[in-house]
Amino acid sequence: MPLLILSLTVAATALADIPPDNSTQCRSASAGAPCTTDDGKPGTCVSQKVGRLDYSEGVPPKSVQVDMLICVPSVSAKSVVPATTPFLASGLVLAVMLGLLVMKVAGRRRVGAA
Amino acid sequence: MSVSDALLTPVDVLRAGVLRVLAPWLSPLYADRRRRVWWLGVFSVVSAFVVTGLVPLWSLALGPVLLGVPHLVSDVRYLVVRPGLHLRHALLVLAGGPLLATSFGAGPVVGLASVVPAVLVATPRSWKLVLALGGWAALTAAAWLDPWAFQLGFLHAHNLVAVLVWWLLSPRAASMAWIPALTLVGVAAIFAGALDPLLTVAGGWSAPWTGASFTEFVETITPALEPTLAARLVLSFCFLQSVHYAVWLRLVPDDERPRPAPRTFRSTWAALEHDFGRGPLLAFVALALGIAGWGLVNLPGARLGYLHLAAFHGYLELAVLARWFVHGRRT
Repeated sequence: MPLLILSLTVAATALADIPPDNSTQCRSASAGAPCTTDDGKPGTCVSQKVGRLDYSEGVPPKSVQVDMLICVPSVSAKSVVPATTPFLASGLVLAVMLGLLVMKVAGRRRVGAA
Repeated sequence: MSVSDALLTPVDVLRAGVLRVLAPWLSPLYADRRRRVWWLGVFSVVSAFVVTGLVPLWSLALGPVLLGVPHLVSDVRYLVVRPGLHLRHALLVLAGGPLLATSFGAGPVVGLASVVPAVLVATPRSWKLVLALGGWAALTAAAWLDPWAFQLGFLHAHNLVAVLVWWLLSPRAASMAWIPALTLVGVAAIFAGALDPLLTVAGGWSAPWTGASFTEFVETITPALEPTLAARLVLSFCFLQSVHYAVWLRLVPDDERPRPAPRTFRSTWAALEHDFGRGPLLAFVALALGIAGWGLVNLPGARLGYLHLAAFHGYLELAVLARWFVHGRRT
């Protein structure tokens, strides 16, 4: 616990890494796939060397260079809208569940009234 | 004989046989509900700690895929269906709308909006109402100013909210305080580095078959922290997530069961069918099996898919807690 308090109150010199810029858009894509950069420009997923922290041998982590797909702006690429499919699918699933629950409640009310 | 009876009867027969053999040892633990909940709670917290120390990446990857949907069903059952909140149409629409929107990708400000109808619908004016709305306004302001930071905080805190909900569900004997106390001790031990050597010996820092790594979890569920502390925050999340599942899948159902003795699987199914109806229940089973099956093909994808679906439930827990605070429990 003292380590937590110390770390939260004292400015850390080496902070844990956040995803490299323009990397999240290409996480489940393949090289050459169209993407949109962090600042909204059309781009293409290109493999590049980036620095990351590697925790596979424990803490403190090691700094390593790895190949990673990065969304690189390009004039020829068409802009792509960020994927909404997962949210659409999960929202629809939940809506169906809610609908079933409401129908069940309505059905019970009808039975009760009869 | 129904399909559910045909499937569950052999499991019940097997379970009865095992319990008969182990009766001399298990009876003292199982017979009394309070004792049973106590040791199940302690066992769950201790085993969550051990699993976090041995195979955290597996726990983080498999937990949501296997236990996620059942825990959501339990969440809705004990917070909404059993108290009859779904029978209040105004509440269902006004609170259900924002909750549903979160699963379509709406941000935390929208999710938090479910708190307002939860405390306002059929609520007498009181100082508690003012306090609850003040709390909602403060949280909304925080979510508005920095949605990412708010979501991170909410992600970690909501696991502990489950323990709080469980604590508030029934009058508690002092001995039950062991369960939240052990949970907090576990979190403190993780931040003090108690699990680091165990992870190194067990090789738990890496699990390539899960398709996930500490690097990814650090990048996605921790803020910019000193790297070792960030890794321990991931471990703490893993531990609390397991406790969260244990609360919704073991402790709350055991506590809330009308009769104190454990039920057969067939009785459990019948009770679930009574609460939800056959159609929704079969849909839940199909969803749980679907996500588990998806996990066999693409574990990271299944985990992510489940997380999108489950976005609503943290806000649901918060809204119901706020309602309990203003209105009293079970209204």
